[in-house]
Amino acid sequence: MTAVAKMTKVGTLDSQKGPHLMAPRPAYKLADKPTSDHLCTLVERIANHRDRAAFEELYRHFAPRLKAYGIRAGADPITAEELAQEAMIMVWRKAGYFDRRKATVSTWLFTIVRNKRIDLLRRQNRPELDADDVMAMTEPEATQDEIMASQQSDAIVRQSLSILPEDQKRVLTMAFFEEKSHSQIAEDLSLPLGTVKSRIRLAMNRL
Amino acid sequence: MSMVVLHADEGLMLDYASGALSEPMSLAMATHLSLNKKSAVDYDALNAVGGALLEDLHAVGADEDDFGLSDVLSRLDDEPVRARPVGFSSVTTDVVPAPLRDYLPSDLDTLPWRRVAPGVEEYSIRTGSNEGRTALLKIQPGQSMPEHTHGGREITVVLKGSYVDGCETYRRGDLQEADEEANHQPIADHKDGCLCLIVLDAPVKLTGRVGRLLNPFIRF
Repeated sequence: MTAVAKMTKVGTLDSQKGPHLMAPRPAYKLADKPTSDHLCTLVERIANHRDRAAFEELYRHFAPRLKAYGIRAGADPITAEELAQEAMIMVWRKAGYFDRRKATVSTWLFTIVRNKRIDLLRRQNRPELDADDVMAMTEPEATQDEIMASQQSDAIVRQSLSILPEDQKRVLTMAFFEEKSHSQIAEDLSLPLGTVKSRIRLAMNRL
Repeated sequence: MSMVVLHADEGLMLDYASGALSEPMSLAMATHLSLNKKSAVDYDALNAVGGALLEDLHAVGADEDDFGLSDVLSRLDDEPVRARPVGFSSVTTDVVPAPLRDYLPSDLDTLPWRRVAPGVEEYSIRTGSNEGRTALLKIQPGQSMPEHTHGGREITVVLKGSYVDGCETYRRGDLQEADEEANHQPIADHKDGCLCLIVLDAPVKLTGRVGRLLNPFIRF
């Protein structure tokens, strides 16, 4: 968390377009692996200009991952592709709600596809909190650090995930990909509930 | 161990973030997270994990198709811009967070409240789930709920005022989780009373001496 708090404060949209003086240019080509910053800019172009080219680029990057997510969640390939498409349409519709100060595009897309999956595969509504409302409803003691904490870049979280002990990572992947509750995970792994909870807590503290 | 804490525990939090909770339980979590900054930060962190796992997924069937891009592009123009629902007065918006407001047909003061016990009124919330029970409870100052246990899990989120249960006080935004073994008797604050959201997996059972006699008649 301390590393996150030290991150450079995100400036206005215009300053994002300029050359990145702070960060060295990535070694790989942008088309292969878009930076987190670039993905944010694509969503903002959709929000501000209804930019179809930006949408296409996002689609090419995320649709295969969203489909893979659907398949991991137990959907057949056709339903999984439908899930990916519906999630991407939500991106088009809700791009105006995206706020790069609050989440990365991957995180935002994860919340969209998770909620779509519940809607599409389980035919259930998903009550979701509204980020603006959280700010309005909670006491004004939210510190800058806390706000910064939600800006964790993909890179930091992914790096932390990669060094997470296997037993902790297993609980997380079973939860996020197999739609298992923590008590089902405990049952599947023949572990006491308390052990699963402490693994979740440990993983959360590390991340 | 039965009673839990003032903010959601890690298991409940992960279940909400991964999407494993039922609609009513998700509603309780969304309400709690809207009111509790600490839990909201934990939730953001778990979503970031979901995002990182999604980013690391290997593409399925990479080269052979465009994943329906052309279809999707042809559908984009017709999509309406999403409007934020409005229509509540500050009586409601000051107290009830957005995800829960979506389940209310009118302002708090004009809901069809129903008296379910002395000093206790209830508005039953319709969700897409037929199981269990989701409701707002309005408890008069100093009024206690009949002592009860649960056939399943119960989550209570305080919206206004407070209540005391055992030696713990639950205030606005706090969440209490009670399981099957918990036998509890919440007492509403003496000054302001209490308004809370309750979500039950299964009906409660009354356990007090009088309560046992009322069991066949009362549900709350």
